[in-house]
Amino acid sequence: MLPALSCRLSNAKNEFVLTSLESWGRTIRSRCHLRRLRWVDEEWHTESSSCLAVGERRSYGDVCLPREKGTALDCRSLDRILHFDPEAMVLTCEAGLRFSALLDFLVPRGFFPPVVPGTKGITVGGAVANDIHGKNHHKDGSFGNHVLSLTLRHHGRTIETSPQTNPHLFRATIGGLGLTGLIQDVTFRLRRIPSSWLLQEHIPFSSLETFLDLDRSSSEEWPYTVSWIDWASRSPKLFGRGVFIRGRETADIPSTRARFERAPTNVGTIPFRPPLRCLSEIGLSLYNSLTLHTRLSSKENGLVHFDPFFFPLDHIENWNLLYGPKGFFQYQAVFPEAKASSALEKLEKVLFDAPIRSFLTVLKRFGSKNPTGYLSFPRAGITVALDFPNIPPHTLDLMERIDQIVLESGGALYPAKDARMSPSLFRHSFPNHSLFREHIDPLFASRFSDRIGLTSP
Amino acid sequence: MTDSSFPAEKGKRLFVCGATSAIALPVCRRLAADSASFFLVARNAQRLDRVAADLSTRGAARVETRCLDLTKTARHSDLVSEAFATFGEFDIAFLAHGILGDPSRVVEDPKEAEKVLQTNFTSAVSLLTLLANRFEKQRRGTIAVITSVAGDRGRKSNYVYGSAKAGLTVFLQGLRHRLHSAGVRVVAIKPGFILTPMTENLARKPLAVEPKQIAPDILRSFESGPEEVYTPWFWKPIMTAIRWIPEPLFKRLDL
Repeated sequence: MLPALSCRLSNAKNEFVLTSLESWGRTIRSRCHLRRLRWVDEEWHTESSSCLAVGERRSYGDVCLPREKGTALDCRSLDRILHFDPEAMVLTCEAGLRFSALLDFLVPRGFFPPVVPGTKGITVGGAVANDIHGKNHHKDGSFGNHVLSLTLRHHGRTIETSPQTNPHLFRATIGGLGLTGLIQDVTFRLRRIPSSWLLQEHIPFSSLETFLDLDRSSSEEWPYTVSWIDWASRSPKLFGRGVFIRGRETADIPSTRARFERAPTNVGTIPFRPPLRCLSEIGLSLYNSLTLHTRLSSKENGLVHFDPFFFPLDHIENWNLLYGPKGFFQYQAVFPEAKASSALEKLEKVLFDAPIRSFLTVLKRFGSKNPTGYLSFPRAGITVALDFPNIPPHTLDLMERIDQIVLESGGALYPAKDARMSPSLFRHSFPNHSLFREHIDPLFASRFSDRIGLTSP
Repeated sequence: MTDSSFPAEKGKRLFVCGATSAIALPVCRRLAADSASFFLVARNAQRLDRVAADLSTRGAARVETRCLDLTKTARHSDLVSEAFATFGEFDIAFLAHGILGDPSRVVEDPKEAEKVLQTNFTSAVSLLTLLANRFEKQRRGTIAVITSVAGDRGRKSNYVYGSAKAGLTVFLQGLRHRLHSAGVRVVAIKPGFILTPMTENLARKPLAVEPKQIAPDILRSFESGPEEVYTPWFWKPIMTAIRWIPEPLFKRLDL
């Protein structure tokens, strides 16, 4: 009776309950302590030997999961905006600030984050720790390229880092997967926007070749580019067709539209955890044809709000549940410029012959801007992101075959998306890993860092 | 009595005690976006600075801070005088400070129990008395105080905290009665289970919600509607039911 009111008090002040955390792909779980941080000066007492600062846990694999029985420091309450300078176009905030809240603050003031990923559900700390990239990488580089300074809790001390002060620690922390300590405050440059609207164009392409041509001809004039390619169809005629999407900011908006319109807040949620995979191959090919059709209809070309342009998947809050209890893998690789087209051709062939399909495949050119972090993923070339349902043993087998193409081309895999790369592939992907290693705070570790050998459990 | 010699600031003027509390933050943020001005009081200077910076960047017209342990009631008079000297008058006084006390000690250690009463009740009474005198003179405004559903019926798990909040609720009833003729609202906000540092270490958190989910109720209570507010709303029927349980039965329940 009245269970609602029974709130027994725990006696020990530092007694944390073990929680099972999973990341976005839902293929890995970690049973760990959960400690919510509310202030950057807070002392956290942990009986476990390791911890990891986490935010929204939108990374697909295990970079955002602490060790089994370790402590997850939930930083989402560290969301204060400490300084905003519109003249210098600089903002300082605590690392737990969500991009959605950041956008709510910036857009009405005519500003935008320098780089946004495919979801606004990540935190600023996560953007730093994964050195995220977006549709403007070919022009502006990754998030780390715009970070001016970081305040870090490193070896129990609060340390300022920037390209001038503690530059090595700074470079280790950007893209450093949270292993250098707790990121407290982040200062970064903003971009000014003429409105919250973009001019968008969809151009169909029928092969990789036409994609590469389109990309070359667009990258100068269009600051935002991305492509969706159908590598899911079983029909050779349809396989490999795609849509090149390009956009640019615009001040030229009809008078019926508000210049700075906020993002829509009504998003759908899947109210329960489906016990089965809801995404089937038949449904998928229907969806792809439909997407292709609607994307090419004239309605989609022209003025579009930034929200559906940058964050198309945010309309269903927890779409990851659609892949069912076994979850899914995302595989994102980058192929260096010189080897990109041959690697993509090989990849295309492997995928066509594969027993399973990538449900959503995205292609994007990375520019040549040097990344800041020792472990930054973006580098000049073409990146491809694939979504695979977890169907043992096919999914892992297929990804291993793709690993070979990545290795041969001298490419890299993206840790934020990874749940299974091997230690050797990690070392090949990130030649600076030994420089990075020196800056790891021994209190911090993730399932990822243990798995690929950056830390030892 | 509106003193016109003070500059009329855009937005509301708030006096906030416990400004670093998790419940106060989303409320203040919302008002900051509407160019409110704040006189913030809290114990921890560093944390107070962060809250002040956050409210300023989010649009607050003016933010003043005072670092003070509110259990030091002797300092209250100066604090209130200073606040009114700085802002002239306030539209809203919002008291959000409070502690739960160390649950293992509070039932056995009278010192700990006293600390809970001092923070939650005595300090609030002292502040409210000083604020009431000012609000009575300015003949407008809202005094809003965070109490708790825990004050509706004593339970073994938190009766010391509950009795302080019950006392506070009754005090506010009387104050409301006194200030009604002056046109001043006196609001008792009774949150249910809110995910704040206060409830962090509790093993069970039934029907718990985030502070920002109750902020709209609190903001509404500043302006209009009932002056005793349960938030979220479902705590009203729950607490009504709980109050109706006969004592002989109640004392046998594991609540």
